[in-house]
Amino acid sequence: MNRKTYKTIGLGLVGLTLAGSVLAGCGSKEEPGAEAPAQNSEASNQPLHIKMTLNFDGKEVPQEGNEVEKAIEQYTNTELDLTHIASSDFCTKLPVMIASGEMPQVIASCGAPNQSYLISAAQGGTFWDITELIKEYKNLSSMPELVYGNVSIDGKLYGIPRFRPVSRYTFAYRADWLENLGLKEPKTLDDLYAMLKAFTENDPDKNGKNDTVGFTAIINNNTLAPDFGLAHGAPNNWNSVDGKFVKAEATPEYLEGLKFLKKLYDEGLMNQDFASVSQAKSEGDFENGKAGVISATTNNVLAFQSRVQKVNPDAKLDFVSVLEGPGGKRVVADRGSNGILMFPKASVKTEAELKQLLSFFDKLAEKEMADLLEWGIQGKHYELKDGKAVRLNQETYDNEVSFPYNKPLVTVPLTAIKTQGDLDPISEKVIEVEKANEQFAVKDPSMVLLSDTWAQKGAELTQILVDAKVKFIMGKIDEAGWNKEIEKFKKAGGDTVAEEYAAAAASVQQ
Amino acid sequence: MSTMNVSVTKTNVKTATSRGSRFRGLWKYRWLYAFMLPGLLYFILFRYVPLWGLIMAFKNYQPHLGLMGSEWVGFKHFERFFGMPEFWQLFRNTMLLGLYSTVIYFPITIIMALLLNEIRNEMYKRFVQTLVYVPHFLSWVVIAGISYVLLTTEGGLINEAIKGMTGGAAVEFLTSTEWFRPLIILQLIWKDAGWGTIIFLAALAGVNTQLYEAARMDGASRIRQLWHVTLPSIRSVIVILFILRLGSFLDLGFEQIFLMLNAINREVGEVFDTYVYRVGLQQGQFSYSTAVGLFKSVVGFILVILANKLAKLFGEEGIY
Amino acid sequence: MHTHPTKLSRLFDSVNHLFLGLVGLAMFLPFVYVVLTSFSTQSTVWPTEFTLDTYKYIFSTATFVKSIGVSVYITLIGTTLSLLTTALMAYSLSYKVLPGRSGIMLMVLFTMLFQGGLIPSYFVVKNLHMLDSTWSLMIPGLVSAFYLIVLRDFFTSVPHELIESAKIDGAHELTVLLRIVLPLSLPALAAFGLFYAVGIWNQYFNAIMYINSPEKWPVQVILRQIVLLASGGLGDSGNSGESVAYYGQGVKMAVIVVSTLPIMIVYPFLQKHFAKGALLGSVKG
Repeated sequence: MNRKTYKTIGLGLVGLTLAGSVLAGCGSKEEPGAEAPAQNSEASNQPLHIKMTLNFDGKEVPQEGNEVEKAIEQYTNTELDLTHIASSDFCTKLPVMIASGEMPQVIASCGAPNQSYLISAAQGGTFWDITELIKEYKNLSSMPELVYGNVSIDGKLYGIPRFRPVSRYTFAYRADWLENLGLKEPKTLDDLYAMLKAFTENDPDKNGKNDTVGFTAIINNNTLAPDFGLAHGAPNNWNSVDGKFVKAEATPEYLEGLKFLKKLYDEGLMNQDFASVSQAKSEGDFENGKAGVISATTNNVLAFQSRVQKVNPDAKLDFVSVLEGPGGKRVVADRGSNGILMFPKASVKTEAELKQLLSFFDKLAEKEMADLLEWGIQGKHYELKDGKAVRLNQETYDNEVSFPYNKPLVTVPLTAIKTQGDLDPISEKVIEVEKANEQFAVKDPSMVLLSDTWAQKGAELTQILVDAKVKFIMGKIDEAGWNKEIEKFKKAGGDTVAEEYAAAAASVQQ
Repeated sequence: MSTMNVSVTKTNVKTATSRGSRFRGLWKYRWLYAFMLPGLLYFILFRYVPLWGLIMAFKNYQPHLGLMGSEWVGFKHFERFFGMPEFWQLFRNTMLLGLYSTVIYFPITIIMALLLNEIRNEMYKRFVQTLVYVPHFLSWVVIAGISYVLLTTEGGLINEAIKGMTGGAAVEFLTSTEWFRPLIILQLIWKDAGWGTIIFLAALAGVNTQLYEAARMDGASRIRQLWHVTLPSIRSVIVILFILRLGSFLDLGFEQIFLMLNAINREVGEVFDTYVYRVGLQQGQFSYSTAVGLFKSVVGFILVILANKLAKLFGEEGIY
Repeated sequence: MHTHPTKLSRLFDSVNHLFLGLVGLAMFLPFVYVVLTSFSTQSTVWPTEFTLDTYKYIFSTATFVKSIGVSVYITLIGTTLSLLTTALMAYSLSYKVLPGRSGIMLMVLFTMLFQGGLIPSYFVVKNLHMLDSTWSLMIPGLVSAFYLIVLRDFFTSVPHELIESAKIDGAHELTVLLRIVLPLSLPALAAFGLFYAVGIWNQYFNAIMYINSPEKWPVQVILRQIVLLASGGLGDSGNSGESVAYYGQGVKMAVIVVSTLPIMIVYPFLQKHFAKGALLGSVKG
C-alpha cells in the first residue's frame, strides 16, 4: 500500500469518528420532558396526555399498556406517560431535573419536601401554588388538614401529599414464641423487657439450644431503632416550651430512655453488633428465628410474617405499637405523607391545565379507582365474597398495582372510599392500631417550621447525636460524656437551630 | 531487525531538524494532529465545558435559578469548610488513608505483578491471574457484606475461630478505631490488588526477552535479572502511575469507606468524600460539595506538579 | 527460558507458587460463597438447600434480560470507540518533537483533577441531544485521561529506531501506527481494552442520570437497585417506614453472578496478550 491509500484511510477514520460524535447527537429521537400537546379546550373529549416522573420502591417498573394502567387511563380519560425511578436514584436526579428545567407535568418530591434546594425552588415559583385550588375538589379537600399543613412551605402548598398513616411505628414480635413461653401480649415497657428476657434466656423456639436473642436493633438512615425516649416522656424530635425550643436528646427523659436501651444491650437482650449490622442481616436474623422482636411499621408487618413463615411455616407474628412507659402512652407522630406531587410551571403553562391535572388526582379517589388501586382488577387480583374484597395473591398485587400505581399516585386516604375487605388478622389490627395511635401520637413542633441552619447542617448535627447514642449504649462514654456530646451538638449549631425555630414559630403565630 | 540493538533506557531519538516557520512545523505533523482531533474534541466538550460549573463553589447555587442566576457568596463555603471543628480530623483521616494506600497497596500490586511474572508454568500463571482478578467484579456492598459475615462479634467466622482457639473474647473488628484503617487497606488489597497487576503485567510483557538472555549469559542471578532488566523496563510505568496516584491522593474509595463507617470508628474513618456525601450531596448542597471538591482538586494538582518535577529531576520523562 | 535453575531459585519457585496459589484462593473463595448463596432460598449465613428458583426468577423478568443486551451492546461499541480515540491520541502524543505536546498533556492531566460536576455535565449531554440515548452511556466517558497518559507511556517505550527506519523508507504515520506501534503495544492495548470494557460494563451513574426509558437501562442499574433494595445500603429515599419491595439474599446473589459473568468471560481471551512476551521478532519494519 502506498501513502495515498493510507491518507484516504486516515481521513476516513477521522471522518467516521467525527460523524459518530455528530450522529450521537441525533441518537435520541424523543425529547424527554417534552411539553404536553396543547390542550385547546377543556371540553374536548381528547384524552389528556400526562407525563409524570415518580419515585419507585418496587421490583420491576410496569410494562407500558398493562391492564391496570389502561383501566386508569380509560376511567380518567387520560394518556399516561409514567417514568418510574428507584427512590434513591430519584433523589439524586430531582435537583438536576429542576436545574435543567426539563420537567414533566407531574413530579414527585424526594420524601418530605424539606431539602433547602427544593424549598428555595418552591419559593422561587418553580411549582404551582395549589393552596386555594384544592379546596374546589371534593376528594382532595377531604385530606386531613394536618397532612396538608405538614408539607406546606411558608403556609403554601406546592403539591398534593401522598397520605400515609400519621403514626405507624411498631414492634413486630414472634407470637408463637410468646405462646410457647406462656406470656401475654406486652402492654408496657416492663412487659417488653420481660418478653425480651424470656426470648433470650428461656429457649422460646424450644430447640433446646441457647441461640436466640430478644431484639434485633439497627441504625438505618441515621436513625437508631428502637428508641425509647418518647415512652420515657421525651418530646418527639423537638419540644417547644414557652416559645423556647429544646432538642429531644437534650432532655433528662431521653437519657432515661437511652439507659433502658443500654440495659437491654448490657444484659445481652439485643444484638451486640447493632452499630455495624446491615439491614439485610438484621431482618435476616428476625426471619430466621434468631431474634424475636424487630422495629417495624404497621405497613410491613404482613410482609415480615410471610418472610418468617417461608423459613418456619409454624411461625406467627403479632405487633404492638404503644407501650406504656414512665412517660405514659406515647408514640411518634410522622408527617402523615410520603412526599408530594408537584406541578412545574415549566411544563404546566396555564391554570386550566393545572386544574385538569388536579381533577385527574381527584378522580383517582373515586370509588371505582379506589378499588382498582387498593384491590386491583377483579378476578385477577381480588374476588368479591359477600360484598367484601378478598385478595388473591399479595405479591402479584404488590408488584402489579401497589408499587407501580398505588404508592406513587394515591393522594387522599382511600380506606373509607374503597370496598371493604375481608382481611387477615394482622391487616385488621393494622387499621385498628393506626386509628388508635392518633390519640397517643406526639407531634414534632419543628415539622412545619423552617430553619436555615438545620437545612444546611441537619445531617452533621444528627450525626453527632446518633454517634453519641451508640457510644453511650456500648459503654464507650458515660453520662458525663453524653452531656459533653449534647454540648457539642448545641455549639455546632443546635442552639442556632433552636433560636431559628423559636423565631419561626413566633412569626407563624402572629 | 531482530539483531538490532535495543536499549531499554530511552534514547532521545530526534531533535527538530529545521527551525523553519511555525506553520511548516505544524503542517509537517498534520496527520498526528488529525489523529488527536476526536480526543481533543472530547476533552473540550465533555471535560472543559462543564468546568465552568466550578464557579458554583463561590455562589449559593440554587438549581431553579441556574448557575448565572444564583447569588455570589465569595469564600463563604470555604470558610465553613475550613472553619468546622472537625476539619483537621477529616484532613488527618484522609491523609493517613491516602498514605497507607500509597505506601502499602500500591507497592503490593507491583510486587504481586513481579511474583506472577516469575511463574514459569504458563497454565498455572494464567490460572492464578484469573483467580486474583475476580474480586474486582464484586461491588463494595457485597464486600462489606462478606466482611461483616467474617468479622462480626455475633457469630462472625473469624471471631468464632478466635474464640475457639484462644478461648478469649470476640474482637470488635468492625466497631473499633484501631482496626478501621487496617480493614480498609485489607479490603482494598483483596478487591483490587489482583486487578492492579494487569497494567504492570502488560508492561512486563513488553520486555524484550533478549535482554534476559544477555543477562543470563553474563551469569546474572534472578535477583540481579529482576533488578537490572525487569524493574528498569517497567520503571516509567511505575513512575507515571505513582504521579497519577498522588493526584487522587485525597480521593478514597468513597463507597467502601461509607459502608464500613459507624458511630464508633467515625473519628478515624470519616474522610472528605464521606463527609461531603453526607452533608452535601444527600442534602442537595451543591455549592458546598463543589467547594470541598475544589479544595481536593487543588491539593491533588499541587502534588502532581511537584511529583512530576521531581521525576524529571531524576531523569524520568514525567507526564508533560 | 531460565536454563540453569539453582537450588535457591527452585526453592523460590516453590514458595512463590504456593504463596500465589493461596492468595488466589483467598481472593476467589468469597466469589464461590456468592455463587453458593445464589442457589439458596434462605437468608442464612451459609447456604442450606439448593434451588434454581432465583435464576428462574431473574430470567423471567423482562427488564433484566433486556438490560444484559444493552450492556453487551454499549460495551462492544463503547470499548471500540474509546480504545480507538485513546490510541490515536496517545500515539500522536508519544512523538516527543510534536509542537504543543507538553501543553496538551498538561491539559489532559488537568481534567483528571478538576471536574465540573454533575449538573454542568448533564447540560452538555442534554445540549448534544444525547439524553435517553445509549450514546450517553458511551460518549461522556469516551477517553479516560488516566488511560491516555499511561498508554502514551507505553507507546513512548516502543523503540524509535524502528519508527525512524520505517519513516526513511517512506512509510506514512498510519503505516507506522498500524504496522509497528500497535502490534508492539498489543499487551497494553489488551489491558486498556479490558479496562474500558469493564468500566463501561460497570457504570450505572450515567444511566441513572441520562436514561429514562427502562428498556435502555444497562444491567448495572438493575443490579444496583436489587442489591440496594435488599441491603438498604447507600440509598436513602428520605422516607422512613415506607415499604419497599423485598428480595431474598439468593436473588441478590444470583443477579450479581449473572451480571458479572459476561464481563468476566472476556478476561481469558485478552489475557494471552498481556501474559506473553512481546512479538518483537515478528515485526517487520
